[in-house]
Parts: sequence; C-alpha cells; structure tokens
Amino acid sequence: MELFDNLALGFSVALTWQNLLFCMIGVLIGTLIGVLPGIGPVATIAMLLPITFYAPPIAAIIMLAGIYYGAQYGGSTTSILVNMPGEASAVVTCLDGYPMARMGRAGAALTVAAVGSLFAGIVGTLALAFFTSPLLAVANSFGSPEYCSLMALGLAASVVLAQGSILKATMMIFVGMLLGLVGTDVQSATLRYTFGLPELSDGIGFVSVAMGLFGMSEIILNLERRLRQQGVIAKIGSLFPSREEWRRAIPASARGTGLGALLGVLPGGGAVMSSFASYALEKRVSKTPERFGNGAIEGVAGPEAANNAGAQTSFIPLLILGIPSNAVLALLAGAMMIHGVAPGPQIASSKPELFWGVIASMFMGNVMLVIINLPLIGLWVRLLKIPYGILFPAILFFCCVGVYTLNNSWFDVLATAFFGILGYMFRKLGCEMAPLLMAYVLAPLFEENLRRSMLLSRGDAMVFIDRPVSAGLIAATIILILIVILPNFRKTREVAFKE
Amino acid sequence: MNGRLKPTQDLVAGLFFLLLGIGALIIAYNYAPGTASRFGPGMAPRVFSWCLIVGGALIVGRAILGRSDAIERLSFRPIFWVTLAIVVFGLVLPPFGLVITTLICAVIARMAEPGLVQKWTETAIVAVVLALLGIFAFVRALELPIPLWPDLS
Amino acid sequence: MRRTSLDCVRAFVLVVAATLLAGTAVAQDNFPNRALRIVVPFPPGGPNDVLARLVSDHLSKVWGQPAVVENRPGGGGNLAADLVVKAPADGYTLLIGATGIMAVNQFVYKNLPYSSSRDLVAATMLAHAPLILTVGTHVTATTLADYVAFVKANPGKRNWAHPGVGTSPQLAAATFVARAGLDMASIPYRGTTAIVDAQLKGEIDWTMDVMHSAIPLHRGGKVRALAVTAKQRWPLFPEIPSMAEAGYPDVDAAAWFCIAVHAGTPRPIVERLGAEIARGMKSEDSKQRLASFGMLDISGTPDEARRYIDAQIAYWRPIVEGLKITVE
Repeated sequence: MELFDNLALGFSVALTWQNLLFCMIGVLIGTLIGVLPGIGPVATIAMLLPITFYAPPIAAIIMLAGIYYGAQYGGSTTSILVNMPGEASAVVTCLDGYPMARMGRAGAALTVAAVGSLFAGIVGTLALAFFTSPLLAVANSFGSPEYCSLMALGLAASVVLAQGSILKATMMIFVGMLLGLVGTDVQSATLRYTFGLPELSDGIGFVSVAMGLFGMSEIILNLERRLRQQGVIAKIGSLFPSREEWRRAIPASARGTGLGALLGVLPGGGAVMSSFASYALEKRVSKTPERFGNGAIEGVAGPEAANNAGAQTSFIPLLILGIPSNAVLALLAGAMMIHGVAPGPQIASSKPELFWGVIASMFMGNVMLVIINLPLIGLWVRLLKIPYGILFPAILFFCCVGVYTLNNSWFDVLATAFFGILGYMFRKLGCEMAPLLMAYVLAPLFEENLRRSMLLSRGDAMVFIDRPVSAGLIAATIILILIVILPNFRKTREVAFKE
Repeated sequence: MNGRLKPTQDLVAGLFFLLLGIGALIIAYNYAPGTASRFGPGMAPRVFSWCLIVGGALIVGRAILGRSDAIERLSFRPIFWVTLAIVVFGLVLPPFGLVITTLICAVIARMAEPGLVQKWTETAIVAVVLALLGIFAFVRALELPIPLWPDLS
Repeated sequence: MRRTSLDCVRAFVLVVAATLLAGTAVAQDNFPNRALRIVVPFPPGGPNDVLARLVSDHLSKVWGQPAVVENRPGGGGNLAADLVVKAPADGYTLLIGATGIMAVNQFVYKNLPYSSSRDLVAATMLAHAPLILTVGTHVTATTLADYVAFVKANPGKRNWAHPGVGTSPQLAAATFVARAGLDMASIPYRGTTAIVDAQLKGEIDWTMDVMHSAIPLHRGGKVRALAVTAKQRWPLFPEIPSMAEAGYPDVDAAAWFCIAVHAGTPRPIVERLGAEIARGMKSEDSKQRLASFGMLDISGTPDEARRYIDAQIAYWRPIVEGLKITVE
C-alpha cells in the first residue's frame, strides 16, 4: 500500500527528536496564545517567522502548524471561563460553555472540549491523509453561487442561535449585516458607513466586535450583579463530566467532527461556518432544545469538535492546491516559501518527506495537546476562584493588549469599548448577540458572492437554482425559515386569541 | 393593554432598530443602488435598512399593544469606569508605553466597584503584577511590537 | 520597542543636547541608538511582510538594535503611510513602500492624508518582479495570441478577475484588456487566493497574478502562464514569454518594494539606512529567499530609488487617468 509507505515515511520524519521538540514547542505556544484572549495565531506566527529562518524547513513548518491547531484547542478556554470569544469559531462555545461555568461545570465543559478536540483532530488528520480527493471534489463544486446559497443558509440558521423573541433575533441579524457592510466595497471601491474614518476602510475588526459585545458587556454585568449581591457563580463541581454528560457529548462530538471536516475544506468562510453549523444541528436534533443557551453540554462538544476537525482539513486546499483558506494559513504559506518550499499541487510528489512529515506530526501534536491541556483544566478552573476584584482588571488588561496588537491600532481598542456599551444595552433590552455576530461575519461574504454570481451569470438569477448544490442549499434555507416562522405564527395567533 | 406608555424592553429595542434603519437608509442614498442584475454598493444597505425599519416598527407596535418585560435598572458605575479604562488604555498606550498605561488602567478599572480601589495595597499589587506580565509575557516572550516606555524622542 | 530605562535617559539627554545644539549632528553620529520600527502596510504573510522581516533580521544583527516589524494594514496602504508621515523625521520609522503607496494611490484616491512625493523619501529599493498573466486549464489557448482570438470569437462571454479596484494587478489587466480590445467582464474577488480558487474551478479565465502564487500552480499544471508583464522575459522563469513579445509593450507592470522614511529625515541618515539595507539584500541568503518569491534584488542608493519610482509614477499616471479610476 502506497499510503502506508507514505505514512511510514511521514512518521519516520515526525518522530525524530528534533521534530518532536519543534512540534511540542509549537503546540505549547499555540495553547498559550489560544488562551490569551485576542492574541491570535496570526500575530504570533508573524513574530516567530524570523526565528524559523535558522531552523530546517520541515521542523519550522511542523512548529508553525502546531501553533495553528494548538490555538484552536486553547481558544475554547476563555470562551468557557470568561465569555470572551477570540475568534469567530469560539462565539458559539460561549453560548453554552459560559453558562456551564456559571453553574460550576467549567471543568466538565473544558474536558469535553479537549477530548472532543483530540478525537476531531485525529479524524481530521486522517481525512487529510486519506480522503483528500473526495474532499477536494466537494470544495470544487463550490463556485460563487454555491457560496452565496451557503451563506444564505447560514444567515437563516443564525435565528436558531437565539432563545427569546424570533422577531428581535431577526432584527439583530440585520443590525449585524449592516455592521458587516462597513468598509470598502470590493466591487466598486465605494467606502460604506465609514464616516470619514480611514480606520474603518477595511471594516470593523471582528475581535473588537466580539470582545466588546460578549466579553466587556459580561464584565460590566458581573460587576453590576455583585453591586446588588445577586447571581453568584455556583461552587465548582467535579472537573470531569458525569456519565449523563458524556452520553450527550459523545454523539455531538462525532457529528461536529463530520461537519467540521467537510466544511473546513471550503476556503473563505467554510471554517467559520463549521462550529456554528454544528451548534445549529445539535439544537435541531436535540429532544430538549430549550436547554441550549443555558449550559447544554452538546452545545460545547459539537462546535468544539467541528472547529478542530475543520482546522485540520483546512490544510487540504493549502497543501494540495496552494490556496490558503484563512489568514493563518496564508502566513504559513508565506513561511513555507521563505524556506524555499512553494505550497502547491506538486508538493506531495516533489517533497514527500515534508508533506507526510507534517501530516504525521499532526497526529503527534494532537496527542501532545491533550496531554498538556487536561492537567491545565484544573488550573484554569481554579482561576475562577480568584476574587473578582482582582480577576476582572486582569481580564480587561489581557483583552486590551490583545485587541491592540491585532493591528497595532488604538482605534480597535476604542471600538471594543464602544461595542462593550452596545452589548450591555442589548442585554438590557433582551436582544441576543450571537445572531448579530454571525450575520456580521457572513453578510459581507453573502453580498460579495451574490453580486459576483450575478455578474458571472450576466444577471440571470436562475443560476442559483440551475446548479444542483446551490439549489439544495436554497431549499434547505427555505425549509429552515418555514420551520422557524410557522410555529411562531401559530403561537402569536394563540396569544392574540387569548387577549 | 395598559394606558400609559412605559419604556419596556421591546419598545426601546424596537425604536432602536427603527431609528438605526432610518439612519442607515439615509446614508445608503449616497451609494449607487445599481440594477436588478448588476447590484451596486447601495443595494444591500437599502434592503437591510428597510428590513430594520419594518421589523422595528412591528416590535414597537407589539410593545404598545401587547405586554413586554420592563428594563432592569442600569448601573452606571461599572459602565463608566470599565469603558473609561479601555478608552484610556487605547489613548495612553501609543505615546506613554505599556508600563505607565497598565498602572493607570488598573487603578481606573478598580474604581468600577465601590471600596475596591481604596484597598490600596491590593490595587498596587494588581497594577504592578499586570505591568510585569506585560513586560515579560507580551514584550519579552511573545515579542509583540508594543512600546514599553514613553517615546522621548 | 524594547528599551531599558537607562536607554530612555540616554535618549532623552541626547534629544535635549541635539535641540540645544540646534543641529542634528550628534543624533546622526550614533544613529541608531535605539529600536527601529518597520511599518508594513499589509497583514503578515505576503512578500511585503517577508521583505520587512528580512530587513529587520539584517539590521538588528548589524546594528545591535531591535528592528520591530509592525503590520498596519488598511485602506490600500494609506493607513501605514500616514503613520510614518506623522512619526518624527529621525529615520527610526521605516515603511515598506510599494506600487500603491509610492506611485498609484495619489492618482486613485481622492483624499489622501499624505503626499508620497512630498512626505516620503525612499532610502533604497528592495526587490521587484513582474506580474504573470495566467489562464485556467479549462482554457485551451496556449499562447496569448490564441487566447485573444478566442475571446474575440466569443465577445461578452468570458471573464477575468482582479483583487480590487485600484490595485496594480487590476490596473495592469485593465490596460491589457483595453490595448487588446477585448469584450470581457471583469470580476472582483477579495484577495489573490480567492481568484486562484475561482480559476481552478473555471469560474474565470485569467488574471494578473503575483509570481509567488502563480509559479507553483504553473509548474504543477493547474494554471498556464501566458506572459509576464514586462518588456523582457524574466530571468528566473525564461520559459514564459513577455508582454512585449506578445505585442503589448505598454503592459509593463511590476510588483516592487522599497524602504521609505519621512521626507524630513536628515540626508546622511537616509543614506546610511539605504546603504546598510542594500548590503543585507545583496547577501546570498537574502537573494535565495527572494528568488523563492520569484523576485530579484534591485537595492541601491536613494537616488537610484528616486529614479525608479519617478519612472513608475510617469508610467502609471496616464494609465490611471485613462481608465478613469477613482476611489473616494
């Protein structure tokens, strides 16, 4: 079997002491920056680039890849503990992870996230080794019309993230869509809603919006609860999930892994969709959807598995086609080029030791990550015991540093403060912010692909229905909207009759 | 249905959506809408704005006719000090460097809870520990390009 | 910018002394006596960023002062340029300048907060490479002439892609379309990688790509390179014909990079910076790393840089004005 020869070659490369060490350093740094809110892998990998000039190419790439998937592991920690999503895929982890922490189940949430991530990471890597061509075929069937339909489905599904009023959640989606439009329009280069501020010409930074709406408003709210001596965080229970929690989490992780591995292959928006699609799926298949948003463990297990599986399969377009699907992988591609390795179609045949070595190192890296992370959970949970008067200035400080270093811009820090106030206001008004945030991420992609599809089809809207994949996605969107709206209408009528 | 109009959650939220929609729509008129087959930059803003206006009006109507939860009392102390701490961080960091900024912001943040900042030893320890973390974790270890000290040149 | 407090005091004393002496001689003699920063107008990963890190690596080794790379993406590079223009004119803040900031933006953007010719001065060029016109493998034509004939036989049916209005690939491609008299639709994408993706799926026919992205795809047989946008063939890839050979000598756009500083920086400091960076660029190691991006070193003196950039401004001005492209 050629594949096993390849894998054997890969492991012979990955298992040298030097490469194991670099892999270890990579996943350690990844865990660290994943845990620090706001400090993303992009900044870190960029800083480390010159250091890798002096390392052998394979070791350097193994380490940088380790930082990338290591950061995916650590990213859930701040979402669960303090409601701070550092990136789009961590937003949904906040929805149930943070309520779990408030119920004293932070340890269980973190354990499920870590174990689910290991499983997803291994499956994702296997997919990377064995199923590259079928996964690429999926990616290749996605042209602009399919992306447009996928984003439409995503926008419709954002409503599912809400628990309260559907109408208000829908309006939050439109607020998010407007926010997403801020910046330069790609097609006409028109500046929209920038109010003459050059800092807004590339849009509002995601981290500023997410940190502000979720994290900062949570800090303000916590301080307020303490002022009124209410809502104290429950005593910290067992670090390990109960049997009942495992029973719910395992199938969710498996479903999340499948979804993440599939969507992770789509460059541009695929990875964002994966954790969020997994949450929507779990809520739909659950017999008790009302538990979601109040600490449902499936809502942590599914999305966490999805984003880790996606992180592994997002290497497929890079290693096979030379197309990086996000900013971190673009940086990784740059790093490979500095080392004289051009990522692209010929890499597997011209540099098999590098290609298979990096894949094999991912197996090792994922195992190391769990070994590193499981003992750390006890430590993270203990952080919650620090008096809040000391804890919250520290959280503020880490966030501010993280937001500032994204673009080295004070503007982003001020934007975070603005969205903090806005988030506090939305909470007081009973408006939920997860739909807003998803729409903010998806709307620009939706608009861009919609307009591009129309340009490509010379203005023929049938293009969305003529293509089978797109038609399927559109049908799913319509069904989803009907499912959401119909019971709601009935309920409104019942209420109206009662009055 | 009650006679007097109270600022309930739905009423304020609805008005917010309505006004945001109107504002966004007015600005959207500066952008070319394009045609049905060739959308311009103004098409999406107009559609989204109209959706907000209609939805906002529906929520306002529902709030006036039906019942809606009252808004919980706001506490301005944490809003003010937490926001101030972030804003000061953003404005003070570029000219004065991370160390001074951290010390100032730690004190401001601890104003958010009554009686907290007056525990001066604790406040000083928090401020100094965070500043040291900034120096060693962020600037020394992660080599982030943040100025540590004021730029005297 | 890492500094000990001692350095701070020293810097402070120096500044006071320099002001008292009403001259800059003292500061120049021991330039640099503190950390430098290199502002990159794009996010990490691209050739700009890599060049900045090569320069940073060299300067910090030679001068013993850290040279911190700072990414300030946004507004077609204008945010970064504005930052450097507002920094003190002391040679401690360097900018990676490219086609946009140094030449094209002044004609494309209506309200720029800076003027590259008045406020910035180049210390040295760094490297350049022409763009490559690539077609997807769904296109049967193997030469540019064949392809032009194919499009002329199918007017209004084919598409080409660019990464945004006012970028040099878009301007170069639009020039080619105008010169060849092609009736095609131009489709904007967000970034070059999205274009390559669309090209592999056959959504668009061709684009003007940068070397480091196009060459591996060309060699791997996923796209076909039909021409480099230059008067001559590119020495690193002599198998690809030039635009001039194909009959379009006007399409002569290069991606090029320089190190720029505030225009008020004392001349000796500008020259020192230029000379040292040029020395670093000419090392074997740098040349190899540049070559992996398909670029060649063109570093030299500030005067050579001025001439290169002036020629670029003279080339782009009529093109931008002819295409009537403006961004508010």
